[in-house]
Amino acid sequence: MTVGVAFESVLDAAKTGASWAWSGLYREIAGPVAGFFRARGVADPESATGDVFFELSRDLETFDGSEEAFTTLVFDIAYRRLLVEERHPKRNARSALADRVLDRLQDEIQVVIDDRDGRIPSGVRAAFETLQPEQRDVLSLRVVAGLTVEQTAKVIGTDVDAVKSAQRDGLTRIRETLPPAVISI
Amino acid sequence: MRRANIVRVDGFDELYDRDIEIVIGGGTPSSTDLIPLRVFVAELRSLAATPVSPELIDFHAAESAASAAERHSRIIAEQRNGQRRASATTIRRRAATTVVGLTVFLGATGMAWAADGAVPGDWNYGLDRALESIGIGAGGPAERRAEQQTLHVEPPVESADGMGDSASGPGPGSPEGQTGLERAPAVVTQHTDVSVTPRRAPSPAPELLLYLNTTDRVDGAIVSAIAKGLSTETLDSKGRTVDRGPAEPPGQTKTEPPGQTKTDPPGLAKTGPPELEKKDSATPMDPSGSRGKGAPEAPDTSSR
Repeated sequence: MTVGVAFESVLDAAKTGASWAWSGLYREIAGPVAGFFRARGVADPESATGDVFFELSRDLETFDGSEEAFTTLVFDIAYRRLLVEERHPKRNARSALADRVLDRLQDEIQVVIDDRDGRIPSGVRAAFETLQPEQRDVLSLRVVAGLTVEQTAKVIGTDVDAVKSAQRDGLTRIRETLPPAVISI
Repeated sequence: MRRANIVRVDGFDELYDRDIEIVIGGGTPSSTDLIPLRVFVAELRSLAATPVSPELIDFHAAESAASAAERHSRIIAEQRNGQRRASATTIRRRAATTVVGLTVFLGATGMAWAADGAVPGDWNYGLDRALESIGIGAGGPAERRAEQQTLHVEPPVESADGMGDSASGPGPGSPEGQTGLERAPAVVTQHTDVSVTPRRAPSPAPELLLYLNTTDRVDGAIVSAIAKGLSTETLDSKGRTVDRGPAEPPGQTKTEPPGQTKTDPPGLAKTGPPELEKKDSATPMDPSGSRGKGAPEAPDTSSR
C-alpha cells in the first residue's frame, strides 16, 4: 500500500466516516487482500475482502500508527477472517443487502477470478497445495500481501525465526516439487 | 565469498535467508538453483494484481464509511456522557465531603462549647474535663470556682421537688399537694410516737369490768370472757388499726386470720383473761396496768 504522506489525513477522514477516504484505502489494499484470500483458496475472496474492511471500520477508531502498521492491521483482520473461513466455510456474516449486491456482482467477479486462475500454471498451484498450512500462510503473506518478516510474524502471532524457518522450508519444498515445465520458464 | 560456504542438499544449494529475500522481493538470485522459485513467486504475486470491480469498491467503501461514521458518533457520545458523568460524580463527591466535614466540625465544636459550661454531675462534665486536659476551654481554678458557685446557687433538687409535686395528687405545685407534703412528717411522727397513745380518751371498759367483778350478779367466767375480748380488741387497735374508729365486736376480732397477728406473742391473748382474773381478786383493774403486762408491748413493736 502506497498512500504516502497523505496517509494520516486519509486515516483521520476514514475515522470520521468519509466515503472518499474509504474508497482510496480500499483501492490501495483490496487487491493484496483479495489475492491473499485467493492464494489460500477462499471460495469468495471479494466478499471476504468486504468483511475485512467492514471489520476494519470498527477497529479504525482506536488505531493510531503508520501506514505500515495499518497494513499489518488489515492483514491481521484478513488472517483472522481466513481462520474463520477455514473453520466455518459456509459462514456468512454479511447482511442480506450485501448478499443481494454481491449476488448481482457475482458473475463479473467470478469471471475475473477464473481469468486469474487460468493464468497460474497448474503445476505452481499443485506445488503450493503440498505445503504445510503454516508455510502457506507465511508465503501468502510475504509474497502476495507483501508483508515483511516482522509484519508476518505479528499477523500470525509467532516470532521472526519461526517465519524464516517456515518460508525456507516451504520454498525448499516448492523447489523440489515444481515440474520441469515450470522450471524451464 | 559466501558461495564457498554453500552446502548442497538433495542436489540443490541450501537456501539462505538472504537468497530467499531476493527471490521474494522479485530480484534475480545469483544461483541458477533459485530460478524455479523466482517463477513461482512471480506467479503467486500476480494474484494480488487482480483488478477489483469499481462497483464493488464503491459498495464496500460506502458500507465501511457508514459503519465508521456510526461508530465515531457513538464514541463521541460516550466520551461526552463519560465526561458528564465524571463531572457529576466529582461534584457529588465534593459536596458529600463538604457536608460530612462541616457536620463533623460543627458537631465537635458544638459538643466542646456545650461541655464548657458543664458542672459536676452533668453528663458532659467528663468531656469538659477531657477537653481542658488538652488545653481546650481550660479555665483553671476560676472555672472550678464558677462551677462550685453554680452548684451552690442551683442545687440539683429540682428532680426531688418534681417527684413531690407529682406524688401530691392534683398537680405539681398545687396547694393541696404542698399542704399534704407539709403534713406528712407530722402525721408520721404522730403515728410512730408512743406518747401519743396514752392521750387517747379513756375507755369505760375498765370501770365496767370492775363493776362486773365486784357484783355478784354476773358470773366470773363471763367477766373473764368479756375482759379477754376487750383485751384482744385493745391489742388489735394498737397494733394494726390505728384509726379504725369504733371498736369492733369481740367476736369479729376472734375470727381474724392468725397470719395477720403473727407478730403478736403467741400466748398473749390467752394470758390476758387469767391475769385479769388474778388482778380482779387482788387489786382493781387498771387499764394502763393491763397493757403494761404484755398486751401493749407486742402491738407497739409490730407497728414500728
